[in-house]
Amino acid sequence: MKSKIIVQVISVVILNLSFTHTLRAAESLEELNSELEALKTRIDQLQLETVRNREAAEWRYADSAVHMSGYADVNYIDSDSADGQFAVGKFAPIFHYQFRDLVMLESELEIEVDEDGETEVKLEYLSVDAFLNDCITLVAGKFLSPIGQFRQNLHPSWINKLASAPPGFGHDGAAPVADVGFQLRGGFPIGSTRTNYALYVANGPTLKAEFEDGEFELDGVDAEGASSDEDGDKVVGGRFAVHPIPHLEIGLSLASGKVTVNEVEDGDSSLLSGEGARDYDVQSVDFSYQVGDLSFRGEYVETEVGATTQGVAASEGAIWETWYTQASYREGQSKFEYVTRFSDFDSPHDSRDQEQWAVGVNYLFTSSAIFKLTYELNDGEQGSEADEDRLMLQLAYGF
Amino acid sequence: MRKETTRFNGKMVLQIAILAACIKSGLSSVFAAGFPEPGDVSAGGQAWVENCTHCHNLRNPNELRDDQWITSMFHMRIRAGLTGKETRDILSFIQAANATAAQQRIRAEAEAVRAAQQSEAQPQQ
Ligand code: HEC
Repeated sequence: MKSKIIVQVISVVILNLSFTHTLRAAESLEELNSELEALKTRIDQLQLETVRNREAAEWRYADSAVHMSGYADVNYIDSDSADGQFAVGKFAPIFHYQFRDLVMLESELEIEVDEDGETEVKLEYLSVDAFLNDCITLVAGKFLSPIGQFRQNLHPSWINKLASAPPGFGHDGAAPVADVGFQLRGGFPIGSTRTNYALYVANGPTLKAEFEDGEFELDGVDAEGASSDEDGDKVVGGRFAVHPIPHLEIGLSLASGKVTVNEVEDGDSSLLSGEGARDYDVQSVDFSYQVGDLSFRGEYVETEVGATTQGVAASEGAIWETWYTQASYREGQSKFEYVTRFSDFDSPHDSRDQEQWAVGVNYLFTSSAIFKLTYELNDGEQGSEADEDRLMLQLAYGF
Repeated sequence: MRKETTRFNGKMVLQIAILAACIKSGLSSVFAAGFPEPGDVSAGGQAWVENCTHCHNLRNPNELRDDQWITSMFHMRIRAGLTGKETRDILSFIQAANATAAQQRIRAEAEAVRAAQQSEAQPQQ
């Protein structure tokens, strides 16, 4: 009897044990299954990551690089005769595409909203640049004029320390804005002195004439880069600059060629015929110098157009001349910057001549996001726009 | 201020090893494209100071990614009339400055993780 009971107990224990064992086995099977599922998911993830990493590496090691930069500004302008108004200055995206260190495409669009709310799009420059060797780059297409420093180096609003361009450096001014052709540019050291140069051949500008008091006279030089050249004579020019000591640059620019009248201001341009090609000469000197917290720069440009006796708009020649000097001060990495600039622009039209003192205080959110307060004291022909003082606020961002 | 003593555990060692591997192999490969050929970093530093404040305020290396700096430096090469060598030197300097800054940031992040783990391991007394 006793032994029977013992057998029963043992069998119950064995039964029990095997039951818990099966239970355990079932549990761990479930665990295993879920672990397997987790592993599968992880493998999927890893596979995805590997593909992504390969893509990233392909992108990283590609022979091409792409980058978009540019700048934008918004403004508020208050002048003597008009009420203050807000204006979208411009949005200027710059596109860079580069194939290794051989070729680069650079292009800047200029998108502006005019007084009537219409959006204007202009191609400020577009060039394909080939890096021929360490000292020579070929730049072909539409490029900013290599004459002087304002247009090619300083005009973007995040760089220009005042909210306006100096008189004579814009539309119908003395300094050319852009041209279409090709340049050879670069730099080379002479001993320990750094130098840089730009030589160009381009279509050159066109001329605008005006009919006044019974005769034609020259109205302005349209030097914004035309894709045509009526006289067929190219303009050849360039700039050479040296850095005699670090932080000092002195530049000399010259250009020469032929230009022809192809437009009559406020008149019928189709009446023009047989217009003679006129001499066109530009000369400029510029300097810039940084010493401690102070920065100085200045530039003189003269554009001279010759006379012609041929054509409907035959007339005397004319000279456009402008210069400015600018001083700015920023203490160390201070957020504030103080600027003053004097400019004097002389043109064949008394109503456009202008002498200007501009002063400004800037607040630098970052090195390329700047709030500017600029005041222009203008002295021009009485009653003309050139005589009106202006207050300008500008928020500029270079990205 | 309580001076923190660093105690290592397996997980942390692994994390640090991964970080070290990232910094050692990763940074050099993550930030180097196949072109241009590398320049001289210290000559680049000097050229950067001398040239890059000439026309505009100095742009910080960490404003752009390394690959973006390639096109920007070639853009500046054309604008400023830099030689190819100056361009490569300055680019290498800027990329090295970016790599150092990234390393510092990774180290700071690792330290923050370590500090968080320690305060978890040693609850407030
Ligand atoms: C000769 C004048 C000049 C010098 C010197 C110069 N820059 Fe520039 N930089 C410019 C101009 C002009 C722009 C704006 C480009 C435009 O609007 O077309 C610019 C734009 C930039 C930008 C914005 C992104 C881009 O590619 O447009 C960066 C970043 C920059 N420069 C960095 C530098 C660095 C780094 C150096 C030193 C090697 C340097 N610059 C030297 C004139 C200069």
